[in-house]
Amino acid sequence: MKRAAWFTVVGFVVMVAAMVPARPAFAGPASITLTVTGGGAVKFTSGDNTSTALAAGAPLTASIRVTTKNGGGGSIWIDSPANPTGAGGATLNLALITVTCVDTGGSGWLNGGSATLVPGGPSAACATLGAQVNNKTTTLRVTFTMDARTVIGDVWSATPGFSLAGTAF
Amino acid sequence: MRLAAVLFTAAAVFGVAQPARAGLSLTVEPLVQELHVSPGSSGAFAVKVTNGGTEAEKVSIEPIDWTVTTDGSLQFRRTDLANAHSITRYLSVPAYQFVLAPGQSREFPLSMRLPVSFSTVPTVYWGGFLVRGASVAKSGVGPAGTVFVYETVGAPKAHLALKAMRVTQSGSSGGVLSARLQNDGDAYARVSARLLIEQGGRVIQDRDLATPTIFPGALRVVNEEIKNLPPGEYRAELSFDYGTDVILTGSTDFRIH
Repeated sequence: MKRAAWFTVVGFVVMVAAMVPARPAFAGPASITLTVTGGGAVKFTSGDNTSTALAAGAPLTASIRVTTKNGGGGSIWIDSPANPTGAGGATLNLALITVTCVDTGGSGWLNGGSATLVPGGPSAACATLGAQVNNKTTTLRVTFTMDARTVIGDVWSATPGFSLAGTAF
Repeated sequence: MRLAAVLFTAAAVFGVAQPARAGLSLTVEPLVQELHVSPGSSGAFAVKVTNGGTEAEKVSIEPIDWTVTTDGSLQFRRTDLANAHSITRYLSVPAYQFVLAPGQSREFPLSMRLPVSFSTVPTVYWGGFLVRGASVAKSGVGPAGTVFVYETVGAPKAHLALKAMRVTQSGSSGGVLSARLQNDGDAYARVSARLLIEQGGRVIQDRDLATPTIFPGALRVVNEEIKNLPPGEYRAELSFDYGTDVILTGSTDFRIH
């Protein structure tokens, strides 16, 4: 029988082992701090359908300093308001906006990702916190970008109701 | 009732290219609370919210439900009364909006009252609140945190089963561990998971995995990237502690070519 060229699975074994009673089953995070150290008010601007359409020509960004004291396991996500109406009366579909979270601190325990905004509700996780993260700090860069091919000419400024949220499970 | 004391602080500064300082700051404590309230009874625990920023903050508290997908992703939604396992409708706080001055805190009870008609069948429920902070003076992004509440009625059976486990090579010096877990009990499983990579009986990698709660009947697929593995024979050992008096462990041997 020809064996797989580069990989072999021998099988897997499951055991249920007795353990010392009263051992804590799960340690939730004892402390986590998020600090947005730079960014802008939520202002979307689009004059045509070819250019970048956020924050007067530049993507809206924010830098978040994340500090944990004890434990871990959680996520960071974005809670959005309903689709805003611009100065010209056009509705901005927030579902066209993607938020990307990058761990610029290279922590290894805060795993960046991306999520699409959900009008009037919470997005999926934009970043996840690893387990057992103790007394560490890193920086998360959050960038809002929009599919410029689909935008329409209008200005939506200082949109209220966005929240950068942290959750532990 | 088991107390999982957790603390969350979120702080935000707004304004383009501003120097680092905490203009908006929100601290919510705890983030997770486990309750054991009988039908017809009530329970409560203290929630503390602090504005650690430099400007006044409008705090709003909103009921929220969530679920966990098969891949372990958290999905949030507004209160979903159609969810038979949601207890959010039974949760309350004394005030759902208030203003905190810079440095000010407010502590209040988060209460849960279960009606007499509530099912006594041993099982678990969950719900919670989203606590948001916003500037009183201007619009923009604000910090937020969740308070998750778990409720256990009776003494439901807790059991996890490891259905499958394998490692697949990825690239020239790494692999991806895939494992499939099934919560075939009636209790939720808040899991502490650990992965060991061994070679020749020696542990060469040891890490804790963040695995969100596995609810009754749910399947969980764990995918974990393993890096820095030169060609050779290895053993992956995955263990799950979910609060019972046993640890569930699985292992598989694999080869990197």
